[in-house]
Amino acid sequence: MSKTKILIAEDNPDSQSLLQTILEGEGFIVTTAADGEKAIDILCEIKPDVLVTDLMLPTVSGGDLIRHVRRTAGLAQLPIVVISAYGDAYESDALAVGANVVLKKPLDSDLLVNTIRELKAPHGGGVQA
Amino acid sequence: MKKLRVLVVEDNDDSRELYALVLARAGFDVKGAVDGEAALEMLDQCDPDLLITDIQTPNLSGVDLIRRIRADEKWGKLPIIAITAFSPDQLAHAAIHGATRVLRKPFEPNRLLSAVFELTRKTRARSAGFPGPQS
Repeated sequence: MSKTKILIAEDNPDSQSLLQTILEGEGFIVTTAADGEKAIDILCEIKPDVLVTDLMLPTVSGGDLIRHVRRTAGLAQLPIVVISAYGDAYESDALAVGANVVLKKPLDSDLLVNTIRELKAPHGGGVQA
Repeated sequence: MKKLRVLVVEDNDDSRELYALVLARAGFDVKGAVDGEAALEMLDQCDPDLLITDIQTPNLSGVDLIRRIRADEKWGKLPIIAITAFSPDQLAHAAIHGATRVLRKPFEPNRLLSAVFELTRKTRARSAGFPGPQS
């Protein structure tokens, strides 16, 4: 089975490195984008299995990035995890525009990894606890 | 063999977690503090072999924390790595006030680890039973 590919959209360099370090440590293939426009540019090219995104991104916001994914043929089913440092209003907004899961900061790395594994295998086939 | 302990002083949760994760994977026992004041309060209990601090932390800045540690009888010689996103002037300022190494952001795991390994070489040799040459 091929390794799971993740695209991380996050502008804060340390937050981006933290996510990358956690996910690469679990054996995922990670690509990063520091703003929403760059994320859109490389989505079609790298065809990730899961998108992990911040909401507050430069150029194209996290919310607009999610909307773009949901209305683009070939991307519409892409599982999306939002990492949010903000309140409940943003959580429901992110879910309303199409995020699958919203995880709040401070980041729980085990929860993030388990969430990604579940989203990658939604039919319960290959996920081991 | 006892793990070496590193105290990380950083108010940004993601940055602190990042440093802690990289250091823990390299075999260090890592404790965190959100500002200089908290770091000073936990020094004796934490008993670190090395301290890593952001230059601009709330309450007591990294520079003031370094100055206070250098003036302390017990902790005056503790190796300290200062991390800053800011200008060479601030890097120089931190060095003048006693940081053993100053690292500039963006954060690179390998640069941090090589500084940490270099500054803890003697301590690691001692805890492995190799006192090494006196210097």
